[in-house]
Amino acid sequence: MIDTCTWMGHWGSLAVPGEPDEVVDMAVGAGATHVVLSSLNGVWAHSPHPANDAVYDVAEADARVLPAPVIDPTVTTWEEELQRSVERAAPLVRWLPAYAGFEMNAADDWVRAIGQADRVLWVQTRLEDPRRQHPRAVVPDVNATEVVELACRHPEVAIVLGGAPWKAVLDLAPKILSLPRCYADTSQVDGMDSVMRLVDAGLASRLLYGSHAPLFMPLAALARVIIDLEAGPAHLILHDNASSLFRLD
Amino acid sequence: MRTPAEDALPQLRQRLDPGGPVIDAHVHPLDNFGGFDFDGVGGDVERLRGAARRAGVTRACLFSLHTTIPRDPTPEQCRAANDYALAMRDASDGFFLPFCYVSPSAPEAAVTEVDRCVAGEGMVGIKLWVAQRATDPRLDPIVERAVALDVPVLQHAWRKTTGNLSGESFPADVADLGRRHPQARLIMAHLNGCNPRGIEDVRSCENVTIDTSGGDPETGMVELAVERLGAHRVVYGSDAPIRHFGVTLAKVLGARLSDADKRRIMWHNLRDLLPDRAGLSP
Repeated sequence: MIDTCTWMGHWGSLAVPGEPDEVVDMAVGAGATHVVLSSLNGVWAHSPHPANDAVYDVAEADARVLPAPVIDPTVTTWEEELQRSVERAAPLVRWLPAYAGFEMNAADDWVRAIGQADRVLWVQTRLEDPRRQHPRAVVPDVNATEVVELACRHPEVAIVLGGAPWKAVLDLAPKILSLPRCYADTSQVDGMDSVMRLVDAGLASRLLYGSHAPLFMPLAALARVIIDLEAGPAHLILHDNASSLFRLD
Repeated sequence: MRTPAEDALPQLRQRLDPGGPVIDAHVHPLDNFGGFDFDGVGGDVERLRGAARRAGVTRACLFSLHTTIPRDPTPEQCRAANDYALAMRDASDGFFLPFCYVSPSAPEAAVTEVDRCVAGEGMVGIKLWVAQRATDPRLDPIVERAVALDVPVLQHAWRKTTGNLSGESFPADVADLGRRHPQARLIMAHLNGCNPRGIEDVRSCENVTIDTSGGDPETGMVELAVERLGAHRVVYGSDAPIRHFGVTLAKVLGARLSDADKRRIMWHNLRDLLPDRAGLSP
């Protein structure tokens, strides 16, 4: 079982257990065998890249952890950071456009470079519900449709729609399915029968299990997948899709 | 032949076993939210109850906000909403325990509707949503009637960074209501929506309990509510179908609390708030 969305570090508006061992324990406690880890510490930094150092260190020390550096293409040296992700065998690169201030329609060169580096691009559309963010630090969601349109312009690049609500994913299902390498994670897919409805829309092979720990509770993420689904689609979402995408086998 | 991975699923499901009966304090009909396909009241019951049972929920408090979910409903809309909730109760073998939905904008009509639904039809609580804030004196006759009829009042509350609706209560408003009516049993909805500040707002009001519904399954929130209010003042709620029964129940199951405190939150506390006719023994 692969938890594709976890974070270490500090988050200002919610006290979270963000030490690396705490995060890994949370994810493993809900059944994960592999944990794809990024750092929250760089999210509000002028450059998120130095915070990736700790992620690589944790991954080097713990074989269960796969590093997912946060890279900001508005930082001049982003290509060096992308190259580091290749050298450190990071299976994916996480991009937080809402925090970096970078528009989807200006991202083509950046996405092309990700593809040339043979990385998976994870576009995080939300870290925190705007209704509960600190009032002096409100960050709007990234438009999920624009993310999938970006994927349509770059069908050769594996792109993950991260943190989107279930209705947005459901509405975008036909476009996602029309692309060979477009995925969505389940970390913020809430609502009754939500993952089941996405599976019914044909998305079983395009969903990745993510907990969003430690901001969210991994047991809750597990619940939305395994309570409603048969074994086949559950295994695709919990393991097989990510294993194939990240070439873990 | 099963694969090793398939064998792992039952073990994973065990982690979500509540280990006893569970009552959900906060459920709406599919008729209100979610864009589900269902066939009338019977279909609504079947699909909603089925999803609840898959997650381990054994009883659920239900309130309809009317099929058009108006923010300030007319007395006629409240009556139609309550008739729908009663029909769901009757079609569900008592799985759903209906609350009477009224609007303080028309307090006399609201009291009449409470008498019809609670005294007459056996509803087990009163639901107030976003028509008027809980500081509004027009709530007073409704809450007084709830005290007289020995039922709790569940009041929606949220504390939105993006701004509340004009009639939407803040947690501090619920605290004000609790102080005005010390004999009332109030349930403040939406722990995660109220956030840590909201917990502090109601801390001194012993007659205010908080339900765990609303918002995302943030780490540590249920524990914080228990630490600040006591385990006896927290009840499980899902806000289904807007939220998932199992995801919200996992907020309690996954919390760093004793098994005894989890049992209180999932069953005993709400059982003790509801009238005996809810039939929630032991």
